[in-house]
Amino acid sequence: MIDPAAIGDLAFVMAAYGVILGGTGLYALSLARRLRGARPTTSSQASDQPRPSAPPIDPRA
Amino acid sequence: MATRALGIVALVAVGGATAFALAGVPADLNQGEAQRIMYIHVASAWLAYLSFGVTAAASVWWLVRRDPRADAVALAGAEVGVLFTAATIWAGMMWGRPVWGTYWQWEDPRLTTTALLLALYVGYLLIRRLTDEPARRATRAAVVGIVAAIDIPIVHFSVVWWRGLHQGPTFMSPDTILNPPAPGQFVAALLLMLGAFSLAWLWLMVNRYRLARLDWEAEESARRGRLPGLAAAVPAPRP
Amino acid sequence: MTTIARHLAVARAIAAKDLRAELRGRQAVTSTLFLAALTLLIFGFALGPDRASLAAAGPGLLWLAVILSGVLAVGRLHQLEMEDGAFELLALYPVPRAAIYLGKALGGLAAMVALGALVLPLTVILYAIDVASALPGLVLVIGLGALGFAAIGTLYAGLTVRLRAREVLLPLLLLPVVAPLLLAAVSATASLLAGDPLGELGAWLQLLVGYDLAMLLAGGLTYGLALEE
Repeated sequence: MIDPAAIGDLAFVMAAYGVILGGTGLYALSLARRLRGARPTTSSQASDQPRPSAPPIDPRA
Repeated sequence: MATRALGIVALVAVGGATAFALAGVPADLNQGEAQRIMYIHVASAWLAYLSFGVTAAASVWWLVRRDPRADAVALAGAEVGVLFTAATIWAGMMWGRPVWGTYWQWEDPRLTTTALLLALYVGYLLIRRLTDEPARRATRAAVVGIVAAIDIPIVHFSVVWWRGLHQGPTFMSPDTILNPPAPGQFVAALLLMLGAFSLAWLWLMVNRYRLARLDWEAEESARRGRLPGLAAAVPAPRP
Repeated sequence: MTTIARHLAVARAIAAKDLRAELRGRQAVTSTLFLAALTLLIFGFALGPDRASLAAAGPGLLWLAVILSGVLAVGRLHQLEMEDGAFELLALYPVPRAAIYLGKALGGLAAMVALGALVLPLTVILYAIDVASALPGLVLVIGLGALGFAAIGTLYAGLTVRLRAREVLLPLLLLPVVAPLLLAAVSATASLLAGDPLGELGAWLQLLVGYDLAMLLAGGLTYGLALEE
């Protein structure tokens, strides 16, 4: 790996792996975050407490 | 949970496969270090097309059964597929520049077909984003997904014919370089990367599917005017 | 009346209605004809003035003009009907969905053929291409290309007509899907004009026919889904 041409090539290798693994990692993190955010609405905390009765929301309004 | 274990295993596997591809395996005699990109390029391509197939199959499933789970699978396949398709193209470009001298080679069937695949996926995701009602969205997307699946083999053939007619003498395609007898270590590195990426793919698919199901349920509840947690609410009549 | 005869009768009625509306000044397609001509003109400004390179680019420019205007044409064939409220009525007719698709696709085919018929002589004039020897073959290629585009264009136009963002979405969906059609049509056209030196014409024609059949099948089977509300 003393070959100077190889060092230029290494930059492309790093760019390839770096961007792909980094991007996939970011996507995975965002998925995990979105899932954690969505869960509480169906968790026990929300459904156990009695809610005051309210008229159903009209989706057409 | 099982998926958490899967996630950890996938992470370790990807780390190990990458380390092997970058340092464990020797560089190629002809292409040098740049050839190491092949492992992640091929693995990404494989999963991009797998995701695409999953979306197409799930689209058919939706049209036949109208099962919301089908739509969730289709969406997961499309989003994860965009990720791996973009990865394939990016790796292809990073590999092309040192090896071909250019970032893009029109006659390389994998690169051009994958670029169109990306365009088709983006269209799929866009028509989903622009439709509000969940069932109609699923149906519209399913039609697009199925047409795209019919189109991709046609695209592949046409580009392969195109290349066959216009191939210049200095043209060197990554996949013709794969074909000459590959040392066992190269094959091992590729299989390792493929296996690791497949595990990561599985984790991403499972979680994107779950998220899609949760979103669907939330949407349906909002549309029916029923808040989660309300007991014995009278459902509003469906419009 | 047999089912096939019924399908054809319905399709013909729908196509005839579209033609009548067009002749009475609906302007769905006629405006796109002007656009196609204009496109050819500005291509000249963008790529000219060297005659040799324009002539070499001729087949590609021909098909680009046809397809870019074609996207608008198939879109408008549905859009204007939608704006008149007629599209919803069409969906309510108790006729087979595939027959409706066939009718609309016939209208689309007529529009695409009209575009091709206009663009071909203009290409000859503007880009100095000699088509005399290859004319029958060119007519065939234009016909096959027009059919394939109309087949998938009609389906996607029906799919997107109710969306507010349809003007952007339709080209975004159509252009990737018709890429192989474009490739085959341009290659076939170029090969015809050169006298088919590589013997490739047959392969491209086969691709066009295969594409047309695949898209007609897809449209016939799924257009009903696009209609349903």
